[in-house]
Amino acid sequence: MNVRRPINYLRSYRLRWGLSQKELAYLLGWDRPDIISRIERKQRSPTLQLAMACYILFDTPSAELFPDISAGIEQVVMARVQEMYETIQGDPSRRTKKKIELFEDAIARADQRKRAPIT
Amino acid sequence: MKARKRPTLILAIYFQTSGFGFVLLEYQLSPVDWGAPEVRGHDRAKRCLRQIDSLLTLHTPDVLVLQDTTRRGTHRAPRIEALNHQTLQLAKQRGVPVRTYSRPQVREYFEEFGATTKQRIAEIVAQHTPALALYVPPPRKPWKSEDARMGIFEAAALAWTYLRSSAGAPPF
Repeated sequence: MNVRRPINYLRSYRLRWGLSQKELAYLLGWDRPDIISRIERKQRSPTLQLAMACYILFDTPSAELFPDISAGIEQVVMARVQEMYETIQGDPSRRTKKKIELFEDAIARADQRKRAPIT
Repeated sequence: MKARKRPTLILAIYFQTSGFGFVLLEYQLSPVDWGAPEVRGHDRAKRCLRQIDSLLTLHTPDVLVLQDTTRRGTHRAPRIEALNHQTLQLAKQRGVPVRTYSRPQVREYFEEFGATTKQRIAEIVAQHTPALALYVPPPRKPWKSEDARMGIFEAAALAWTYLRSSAGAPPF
């Protein structure tokens, strides 16, 4: 059975702009191209430094460049948001009200992202 | 929590003298990966298959599009016909559905755009898929062999033909 592996668009962006792995590694702050090759082959996850460097170079947020990683993180965070949201209900303190406000916002944003057409 | 549905991935492969061209399309006009790896020397069939195998592992496409090199399809060199058949078998082993189209079927589709030559087809594909524009080879001189990059556009043309035949409308 085929196992779906996370998709990433690093290679698409690199090819679109005619960059070699060596050139991209250099531009993103690495000396050797292995890191680019491994990320493109989905053998390792991008580091925060690489994700930010990609954003600076391609003007593309990491959620767009690495959608499956982003979706996985979102799933974990939102599950915990939902859990904490349920737990703190009924507490009248001002701090709790602030937290509820944040969680409701986060839930609304997550719903909006799910409804948004994928372009 | 509902997970977002992953888009359909179409992998098209076109074999040529010195390797193969491939395009991986997600949605209709957005290529995710493409290339024309050159595979020369003895054992090139095995090495081609190894590379295709790693492409199938890496991308796990929903459908593989190949050229129809059977008797009813396009006549190609015996080596390429065998390679095409082995790729088809490889995809079947992995449970990836395969669609094949002959050169006349591809040409018939692109005639709608007034493109009858390989060069013109490549230009039409690049016009609608700007990401590939950088890879359009210059027009071939009669005394020169074909540029390996043409394989990318041959593969893209196969993918477009598949999209047309499965959706009933041009991919844009």
